[in-house]
Amino acid sequence: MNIDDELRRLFDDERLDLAIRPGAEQQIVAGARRIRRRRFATATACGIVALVVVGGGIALAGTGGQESLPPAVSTTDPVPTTSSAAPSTTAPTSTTRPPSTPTGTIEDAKIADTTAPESTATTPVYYFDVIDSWSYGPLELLMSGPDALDTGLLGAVVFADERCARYTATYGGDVVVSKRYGVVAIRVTRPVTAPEGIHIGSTVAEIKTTYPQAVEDRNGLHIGGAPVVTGFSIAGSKASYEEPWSDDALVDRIEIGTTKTDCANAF
Amino acid sequence: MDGFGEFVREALPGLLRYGYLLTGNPHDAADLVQTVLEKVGSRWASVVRNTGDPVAYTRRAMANSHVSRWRRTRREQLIAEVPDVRGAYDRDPFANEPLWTLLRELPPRQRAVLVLRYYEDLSELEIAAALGVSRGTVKSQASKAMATLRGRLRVSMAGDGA
Repeated sequence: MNIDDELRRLFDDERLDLAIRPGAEQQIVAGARRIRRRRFATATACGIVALVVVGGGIALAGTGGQESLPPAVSTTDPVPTTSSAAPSTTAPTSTTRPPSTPTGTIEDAKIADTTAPESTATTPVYYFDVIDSWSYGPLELLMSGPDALDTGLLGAVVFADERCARYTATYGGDVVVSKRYGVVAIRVTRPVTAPEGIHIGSTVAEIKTTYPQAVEDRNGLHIGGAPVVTGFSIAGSKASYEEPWSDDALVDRIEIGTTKTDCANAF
Repeated sequence: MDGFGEFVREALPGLLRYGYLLTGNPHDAADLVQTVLEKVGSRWASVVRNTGDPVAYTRRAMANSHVSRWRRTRREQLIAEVPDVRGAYDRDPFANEPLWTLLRELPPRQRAVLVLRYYEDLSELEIAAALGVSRGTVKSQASKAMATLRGRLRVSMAGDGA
């Protein structure tokens, strides 16, 4: 008996093919997500800092655990980039948040993006309809800066210091990347929906109905807690910090972010 | 993890087969595949960017993982178990294959070397790189494995003929 030949025959045997249980792929993808999240949770176990970002940024507050929302990434058809940098005109535009810091506004990002070379590129930009608590399309919280750039969704740099950079996003919004933690915030101003149905244009009342645990902050309302929060930025501004948001005020941006961040200056 | 789900969907059948070869049974194969794929997926973008061939990378990772750390705790199963054939996977379809039985008795590293050599058609150098050992170790492990198989097969065939 030639063992070499016998081994090859054995290794080619069709009985080695195994039937795959339905849902196995999703199970593996979910497991990979769990590992990634656990890795970050371990890194942040030494202390979670409640942080409210100054200047129209996401309110990141550690207010207790949040059950992970199911992954939801649905794509729509690609559209040319020539006019894609600006947020959709279907988003509420009756009032916009006034710039409160010289470098921390989405308006700055829009201006920078329109002058960026990428805005004339011919490659398609993919829009994504759903933002979950960890990801928006291929962009994920905690992914490395190079990985985020590889998605092709990051445009011009509108802020950078020794720790962080804020990029305009070709889909409409911006992304903040920490050298230490990777992507720490993803903000979306184009029409987008959270898994439970809250979307750009939803009212404060709808948020409170959908998320009774939602917490008001100076920029809107947020849900979740360490390690990530989802924020619903409300158009306009309040007369005072203590004043509650009006029930009919509208969401003008949905954002997700990590509670552990060193990028407060980037917003 | 853009693209990872698609990668899993396409690669899973082949990886399960490969895992079956490495471990010698379907359940441990599913365990090994799931463990390694979840780790690969958690760093998917880096794997794609740095390896160029995620399937090859995953296979090497499986071989390495199988050799270096044998998992005792069963994970959720990826493979189907149809009710009317309950226990089908508990019956080894290769029970009547002496060579398969002997392969299962080999130490994990020796078995991995044979799988990489005869299933993946890797050279000694490539096997050494995949397992993180020297070329000499690969040669010695392959030699020991083949000697064991030849010796036991001879005994087995002699016994059958007696």
